[in-house]
Amino acid sequence: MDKVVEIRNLSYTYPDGTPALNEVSLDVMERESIGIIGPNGAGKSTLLLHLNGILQSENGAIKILGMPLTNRNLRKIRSKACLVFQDPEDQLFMPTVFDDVAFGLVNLGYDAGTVREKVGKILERVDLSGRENRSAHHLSFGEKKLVSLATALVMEPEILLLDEPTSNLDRKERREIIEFLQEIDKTKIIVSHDLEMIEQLCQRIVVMNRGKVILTEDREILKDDDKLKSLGL
Amino acid sequence: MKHSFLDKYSDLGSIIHRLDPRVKVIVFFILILVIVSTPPQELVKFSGYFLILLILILLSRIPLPFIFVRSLVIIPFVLLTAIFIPFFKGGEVAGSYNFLTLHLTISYKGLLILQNILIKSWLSVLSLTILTSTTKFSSLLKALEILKIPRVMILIASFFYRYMFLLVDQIMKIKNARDSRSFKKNPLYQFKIIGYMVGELFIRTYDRAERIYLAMLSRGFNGTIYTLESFKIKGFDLYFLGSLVTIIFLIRLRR
Repeated sequence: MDKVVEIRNLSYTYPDGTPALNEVSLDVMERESIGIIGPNGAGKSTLLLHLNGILQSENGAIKILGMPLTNRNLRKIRSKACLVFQDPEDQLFMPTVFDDVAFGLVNLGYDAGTVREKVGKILERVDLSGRENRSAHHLSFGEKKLVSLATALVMEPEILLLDEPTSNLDRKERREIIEFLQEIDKTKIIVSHDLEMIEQLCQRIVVMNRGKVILTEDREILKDDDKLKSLGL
Repeated sequence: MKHSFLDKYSDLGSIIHRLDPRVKVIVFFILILVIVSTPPQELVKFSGYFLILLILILLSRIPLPFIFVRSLVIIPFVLLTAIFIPFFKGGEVAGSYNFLTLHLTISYKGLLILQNILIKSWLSVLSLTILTSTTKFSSLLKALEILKIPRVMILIASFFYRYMFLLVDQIMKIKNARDSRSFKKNPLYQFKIIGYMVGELFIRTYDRAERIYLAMLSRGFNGTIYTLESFKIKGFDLYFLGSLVTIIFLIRLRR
């Protein structure tokens, strides 16, 4: 198996001086699903933003699919490692569902016919065909989450970076999203507080606290309540 | 929360709704230009334009009261700016009044200008109301984009449309939070709270804008938003365009 993500000694401090990441190192293998857990403010989302090149740090190195994360590779990397934000209202910013899902593809320079075909297919897959011309505002929250996923999946990435894919969903919507994610055979890096979902989807668990990776373990650790408590979870 | 206060009725399926949005934009643009350029005394011509608009409304099957109420929104603004004109124009005096030491005169010329402004602004807004009520906002934006309206303006309108509802939701939430804990009825204190609310809203909006920008970046945004064209012009569209523009010009140029 190949390493698809290599993070070496990554440190990052926000412009306002808040330290967020401290010497983080992590490898992710191809088609592996990794769950990153930890208390609020541990740096989980910040780490995710680095993997897509949105935040760039001068301390440490990141390689995605063997490519060092530099401005020159950014376009390629963003088409291969797609990020889905926690709040679908941030992820969906175009006037219609179709435009939103097509946004990434159009930016990648696909022609109109291909874009239409791909968007149609992916919307069918998330069971939202026929909503193309709707405004995201008129969808239910679960549907918005699905469309958010579609905006990333449509680009056929090799790595999916998911920030809290199940937050604020009701039981049924949550179950549907989990089942849907289970079917996707790609490398997944999932940041969440939803440990049940992480247990269902991820083989390996990374525990973060105060900007550091404090533990990398098999998913069995999620069954050990005392251990989790001792890790501050 | 559900809102649809901008393009309510825009998903009806009448012939006006089914017209190519570009055609509608062009027709209404020409109509407004013609209305604005018609000399003020020609009331018959204005009635003609009104008749055209009325027929369009009836064809679009949108309830008349809805359109009229909505088109009246502009009147207070117009009145506010134009109401004083009759007092300042010279010429033949229509009436004069004395309030204590104040001497006011109203001139016919001034009254004509006021009437002109009122009629033209109302007819123009009526046209726009029909346009926005028969066209989905997203289609309207796309039509404007194809018609070479500057992209920045379209983007601003597009983001505004997408996030306006969210903003309203947020205001409602903050308002509910305030009302559920607010006991003092002192108006000065209430003003202070409203100040905080506006500030809070600004910060939230700013944060959101930041996150949206990140979401755009992560999907390969590089400064220009491209969308796909999806309109096909039909024979009927051209027929509509041709005939309506002809009628409008016939009215305008009649002696």
